[in-house]
Amino acid sequence: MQDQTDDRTLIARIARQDQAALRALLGRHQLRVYRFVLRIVRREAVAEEVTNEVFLEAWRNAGSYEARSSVGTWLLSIAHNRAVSTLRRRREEAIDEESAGAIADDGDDPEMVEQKRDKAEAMRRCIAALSAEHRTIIDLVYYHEKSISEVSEILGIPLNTVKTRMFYARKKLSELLAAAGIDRGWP
Amino acid sequence: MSGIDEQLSEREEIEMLLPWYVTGKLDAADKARVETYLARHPDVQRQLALVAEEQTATIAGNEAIRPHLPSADALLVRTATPGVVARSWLSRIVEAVKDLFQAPTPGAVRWAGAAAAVVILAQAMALGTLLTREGDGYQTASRPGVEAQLAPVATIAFTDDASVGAIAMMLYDHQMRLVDGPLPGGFYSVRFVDQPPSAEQQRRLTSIVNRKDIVRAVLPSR
Repeated sequence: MQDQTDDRTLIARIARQDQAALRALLGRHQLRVYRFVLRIVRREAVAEEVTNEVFLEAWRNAGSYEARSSVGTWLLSIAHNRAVSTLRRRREEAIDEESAGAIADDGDDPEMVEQKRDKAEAMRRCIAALSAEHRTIIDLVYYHEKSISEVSEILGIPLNTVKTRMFYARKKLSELLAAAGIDRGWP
Repeated sequence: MSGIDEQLSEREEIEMLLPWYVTGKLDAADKARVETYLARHPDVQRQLALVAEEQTATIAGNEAIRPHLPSADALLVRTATPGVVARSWLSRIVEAVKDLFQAPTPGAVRWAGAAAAVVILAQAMALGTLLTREGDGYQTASRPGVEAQLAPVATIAFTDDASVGAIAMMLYDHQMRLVDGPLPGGFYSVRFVDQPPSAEQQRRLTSIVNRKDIVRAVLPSR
């Protein structure tokens, strides 16, 4: 709660064009926003640019922030819109497939091959192999720990769609794991 | 209830809520609903472990992403508004110094040198937001090894009333950045973002001498 209050104070200062407040906001949220964007666009250079655009938009629109949601949720909402529109603009879906292993793959030396047999590693790789839509909602729920209503706001979809999309993302994950030889017994 | 909900079994509805139950993000009513169902159906409790596994893997996947963050200075340049950021207090000091020179009483003359030093110090503090020293937290994160090899191309002194925003915009327009300062005399070392500088960039370096509203002097770097 204190963090949210501090975040809102920062946004109020940013609305008055206070660059020190922008620095502080970057310090608090830049890494999470960058990771969220990178998991969608899958290109470090693109993620860097989109992340900068997110904070630039926050700088420009700080005066219109209404505190209906937390600052973190507001930033992720901007980030999602920016990342998705960038993907569309760059027709990244093809690149998405091409680079599906880019984040998960660090090399195929013997040690890594051994690690890939590990269930946790297999899970991580299967999550990375999900569609951008499914991976995004899994990230929002599990890593960013957003509630159903917050995910709804960030993605701009109804509450029921949030629940069903997450459900089908999990089912797809189980299918990918099954294909990798790991039967979770669900669904 | 939507059509989709009506077609779902109670079990599926509960299963849909489990991720938020595990992360502690359900509202009180849904949380109570899940707990009641779990108490009656112990077999579903096994799913909590699956959700926890998924969360652990998701967190690990995110944290495996190196903090390869974009440079803050590019953003700060884009948000620097001429005449707004850090200008108000700096300009007040500048005006105070001008007043001293316009009314050169013996006391004012005695203090003018010290006041000029205050202007340089104030400008240095304001320009600190634009400095890109090697090894600090705001160097270009993507190419620290290359950045460290780049040498300054000139030292520049800015006019006392040049705002941080105006200086930032000029540097941005000329693809230059501050890398050191303030040096004696209020000079700052600058270099081009890309080195070695092209002929066009060298021409730009020459041209900034004409920005007399911002630049007081340009000297070749040693």
